[in-house]
Amino acid sequence: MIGLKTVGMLLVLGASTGAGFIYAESFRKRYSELMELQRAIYQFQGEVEYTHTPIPEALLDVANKSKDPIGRIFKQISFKLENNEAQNVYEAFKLAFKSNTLCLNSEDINIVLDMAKVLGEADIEGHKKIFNYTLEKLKNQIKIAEGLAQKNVKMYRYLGVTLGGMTVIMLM
Amino acid sequence: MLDYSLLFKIGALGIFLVILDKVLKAAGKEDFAVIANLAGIVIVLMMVVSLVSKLFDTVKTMFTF
Repeated sequence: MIGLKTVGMLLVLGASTGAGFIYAESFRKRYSELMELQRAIYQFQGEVEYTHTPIPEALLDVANKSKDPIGRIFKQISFKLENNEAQNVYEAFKLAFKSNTLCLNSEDINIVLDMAKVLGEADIEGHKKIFNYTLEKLKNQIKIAEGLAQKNVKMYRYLGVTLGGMTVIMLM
Repeated sequence: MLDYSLLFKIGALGIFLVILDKVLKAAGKEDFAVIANLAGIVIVLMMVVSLVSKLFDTVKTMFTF
């Protein structure tokens, strides 16, 4: 009987600790996804501005060199554009971001979607401007995400352990 | 006979509450720290309320003949 109770307590403690760690990890993941997105957009900018690669090919090139959630999304956008599954670039971006679960919040995604509204519908100067605008906004989001991650990762980990311990004591 | 396990339970709860308070204050969430402390006080009060009522009953018996 005591053994069963101990196992139950350990399960409660483990579950709440795990929940705390997983929630804390989402802050770190958002930061790393934003960094990867920034790097991908820099590369995409280079492909469009200097080598004048068409957007589907440029997106595929970027996707092949990017880490997974971002690389997968760029690949999906490229396929959608290549196979005419989307009306325009904006719609392809929107569909790809909707079909993948990311740690990015809606504000981060909207920055990229704003960029997609202009892609392929402006001259090279227009593209340069929208890339600079997007990267500036992304940098701002990265700064915010870094601050949040530094503050919250530790707190949510401790919070998980502490609340688990309190629950165990109250159930004892 | 007093149940000592309740004392240990309250002690352990107090330790966890102190940790919670420190963690929340370090993260700049002072208002949540106050709420957590209040919740802790309520939880401990709920644990001892039966004992307190028993104490009042005992005191009452001294004055009733």
